[in-house]
Amino acid sequence: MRAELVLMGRRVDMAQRARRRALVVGIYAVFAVLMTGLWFVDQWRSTGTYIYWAAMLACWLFLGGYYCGGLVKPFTGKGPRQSDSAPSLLSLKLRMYPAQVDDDRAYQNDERELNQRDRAHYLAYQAMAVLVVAAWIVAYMGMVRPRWMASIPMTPYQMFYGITLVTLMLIFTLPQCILLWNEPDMEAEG
Amino acid sequence: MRTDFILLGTRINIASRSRRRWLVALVYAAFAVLVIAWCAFNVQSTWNFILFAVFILLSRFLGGRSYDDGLLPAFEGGDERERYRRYRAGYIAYEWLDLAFFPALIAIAVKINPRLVPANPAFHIFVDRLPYGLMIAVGILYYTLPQCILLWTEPDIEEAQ
Repeated sequence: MRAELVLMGRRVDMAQRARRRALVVGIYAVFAVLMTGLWFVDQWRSTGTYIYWAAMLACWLFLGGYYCGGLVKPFTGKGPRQSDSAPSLLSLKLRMYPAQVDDDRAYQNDERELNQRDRAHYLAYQAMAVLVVAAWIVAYMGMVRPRWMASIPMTPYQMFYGITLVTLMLIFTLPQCILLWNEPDMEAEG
Repeated sequence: MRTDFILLGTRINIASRSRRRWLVALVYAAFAVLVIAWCAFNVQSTWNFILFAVFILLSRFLGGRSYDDGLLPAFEGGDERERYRRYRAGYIAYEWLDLAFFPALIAIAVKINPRLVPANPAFHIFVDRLPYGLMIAVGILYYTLPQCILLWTEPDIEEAQ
């Protein structure tokens, strides 16, 4: 796990666990606000995909894991593909320049990190049970007992869609957040 | 992990990995048939009961989680090696789970966007039921995948003399 983030050209120290936890809370608070706001825009009909892209962006900028950027090293242990092309306009605007690393060792996980990665995924997998059961209940009610859901101001499909969006968002972010939340304070090098 | 089980009075050896893989394929084929039947036959309460009963039976048969009398021991106990293998299976299952959610998400997105659904009534019924069917399938996959990954990946077991 990395001890600092580079955002808008500035280095942000994330060695302290309290800071990492604040980041995790902040990210999920933004997701909650985003989901609520998008519901009022068009009941997620066409804006639901923004949740997915927001989760990708959170991984890319802050969390890592599924991308080479962010605090958590890539779960696959592979570095970014080397390219001779110029950095994207978005990267330039955000002043996020890809690190020039000659080999993939900076991205590889050692045995301890691999164990932590597997455990974080295992815990995240267990936590998903809540959402899977919620989806099952909605599926059952929606198909077999639709009258029971008549008093709720959402159709079963909208509820179902919301649960699926939340699940996908968590699938992409929860293991990294578990790692960031649990990792103790890092000591500064030197 | 058990190396055999008894089915209708016959002892079936599953010490070899290839046999365990056949078993996993059969379990998922059974689940697939049930979910398709559940969606196709107007989801009467009899089918709900059958689906749920078979799900419980096959889950108990696979073991793992809190079931101690299945092919796999309960997930609570075990030594350090078993725990790491369980975590590893959780990691692999997690990667498959996100792929499994996408079809369900797309099916619901199509359903809640009426302009994407053709006017054909038969297609309407299909689009109405597909999200639920896929979600039931995802739930089954969620519950059974780590156990099946362990059964699938564990090498051949030498039987105790």
